[in-house]
Amino acid sequence: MSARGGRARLAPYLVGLPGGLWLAIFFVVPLLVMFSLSLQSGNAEAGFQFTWEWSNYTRAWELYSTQFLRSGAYAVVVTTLCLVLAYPMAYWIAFYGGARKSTYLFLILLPFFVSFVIRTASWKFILNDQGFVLGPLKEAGLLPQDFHLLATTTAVIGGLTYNYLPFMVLPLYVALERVDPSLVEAAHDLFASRAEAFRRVVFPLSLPGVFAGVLITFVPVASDFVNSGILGGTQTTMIGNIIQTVYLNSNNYPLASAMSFLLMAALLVGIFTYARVLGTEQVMEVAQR
Amino acid sequence: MARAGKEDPELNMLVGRPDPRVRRRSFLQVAGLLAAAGVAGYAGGTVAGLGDGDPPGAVAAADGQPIAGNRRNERLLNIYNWSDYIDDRTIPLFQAQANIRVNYDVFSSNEDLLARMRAGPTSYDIIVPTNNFIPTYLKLDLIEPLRQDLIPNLTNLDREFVETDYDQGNRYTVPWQWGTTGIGFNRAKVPGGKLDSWASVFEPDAAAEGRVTLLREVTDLIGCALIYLGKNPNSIEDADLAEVVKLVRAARPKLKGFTTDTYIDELAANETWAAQGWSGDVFQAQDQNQDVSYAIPKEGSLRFVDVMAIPKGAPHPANAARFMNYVLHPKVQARISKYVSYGTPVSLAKPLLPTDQTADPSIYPPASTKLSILTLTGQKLQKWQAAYDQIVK
Repeated sequence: MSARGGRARLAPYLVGLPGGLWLAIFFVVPLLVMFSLSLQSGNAEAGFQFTWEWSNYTRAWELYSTQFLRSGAYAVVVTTLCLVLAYPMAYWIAFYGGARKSTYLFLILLPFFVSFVIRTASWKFILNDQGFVLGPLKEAGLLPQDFHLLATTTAVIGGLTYNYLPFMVLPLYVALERVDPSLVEAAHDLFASRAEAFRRVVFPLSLPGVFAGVLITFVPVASDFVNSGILGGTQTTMIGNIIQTVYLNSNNYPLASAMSFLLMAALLVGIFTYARVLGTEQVMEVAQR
Repeated sequence: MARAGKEDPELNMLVGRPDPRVRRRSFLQVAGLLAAAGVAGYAGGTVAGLGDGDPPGAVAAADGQPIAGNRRNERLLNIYNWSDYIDDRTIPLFQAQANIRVNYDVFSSNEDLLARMRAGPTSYDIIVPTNNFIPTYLKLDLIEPLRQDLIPNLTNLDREFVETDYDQGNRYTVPWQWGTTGIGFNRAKVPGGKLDSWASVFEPDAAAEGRVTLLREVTDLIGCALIYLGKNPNSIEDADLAEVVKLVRAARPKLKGFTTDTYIDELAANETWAAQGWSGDVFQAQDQNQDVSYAIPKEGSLRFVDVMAIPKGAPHPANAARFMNYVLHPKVQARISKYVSYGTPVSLAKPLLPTDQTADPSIYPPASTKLSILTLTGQKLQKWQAAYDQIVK
């Protein structure tokens, strides 16, 4: 009897074992290796030695604080834009999508069938100074000849927003889809205006979606390097680009690792603060209903 | 460079249709980016390259005689070369002639290549680093000696490419092509249609703001900046490097960016007006846009030789040696050189090249041009990379 009880108690852990091992091998181990690398000194030719080189961290911040802060600022702007754009979309699909809901969702997912690098690179094509958008506008005298979009903050933020919008739409949709329309009716029956019904009933119920959407948009945007690399210029460099350059071009692995850890730490702190401020418990409570 | 002309029938007869030229620069760049972020093991591996479209009949006979000297008994060769650095016939013709299937991948920076080679064994049989990195490869024991007995065409090489300071006697490397670092510019856009100083890229005019690029490569960036500042191009003095950092940092807001692989297209599209770049790359842009021109600045510049080498433990070293031997054939050299517009290390190929190339001082500069060959090793590597870290931000 007791043996079987023991096994039953073990079962959940056994089920979790493959996933746990996967994480241990492909996440924890590399993370530890990288952490050790971030405290080493030396160069690519002579090799790196572990020397508790904490100065890598201070040096990373001294050299690249601008790019760290810029990445954070971009992520805030992009996440806000995504939220503002995605909410009405998700709302409309959830409440007015009818039988075609899955078609609309599929349309939102459709861009994922094309590599996101190719999609970003084609924006470079579209926004080109002499491209088919700016070219004719300049020709018609609607834009000054030296007007350009590429290599500007606008282009990078535009590209990021475009690329990460679906990540915001999906969790919002899932949350809104679960809101029972009869609750809205009930609110109306109780003399709530449409705006009030939204503010006091629908929006609070969609908060878990907002929470999840913001998380899975903010984190990858803050560490993105493709958009800035392809659409940006020298004044839009994000921390991801710096890590890439320092790693691949100057082969300074310790400095690049230190930067990666700083970025990760900053993101974790940001997320926990965000969870606190928004009140995770409340969100969870709503989610469980 | 006009590139019309008849193909040599002797080299041509085995293949009916050439593979389309594959441009994969941007994908590779991103493979590098992803690898850097540790996103996926999507880099490093072989992404199918030119080998996809096999010439008719070539692979069908792959069960032919095994080739002695390979670690893996396959009629396969994995090449990792610079982007835009080969014509579209050399690989198909080699595949047909040698009955060896080729996977051809491209990279866009020496440091990137070195980082990948250091990370552990890859499946590549031939890599093409630049001469200044060879001491590092040797010191780190990353490349293996060549089977010189399989490369009789080594005798075709010019003396100056045999008696080198980086690999005396070609024990480890075989030159691919050589070139110079200079400035590619758009005659219609720069004042006076001419340009002869590094000042145009290191201290760009306000009018050229956002239209200038510098190389994303430690050696060229810092070496040329030192030359422009009138310093020793091999300097490791902290004061000199601080001046370099100051110079490039000041130029940075006016730059379009740092790039080693997109400036060909950007010059051709009139997007970039002046780009620090490599001679042959600029000529490729010129093929597409007649306004593009190349200058070796009056302050002097750098000369480099890109060399084929076999990574330690490569699966098919004998196939690699065969390819090297093939490439050293004057006709093949002429074909590659004519297409990429870089200098050939095999003078026997010169009579086969158009005279407008062989007589062009920007491809084959006169002896009076001040050109330095840099070697990047030890303290210099470390100090220059530290300076570069300050420049990139």
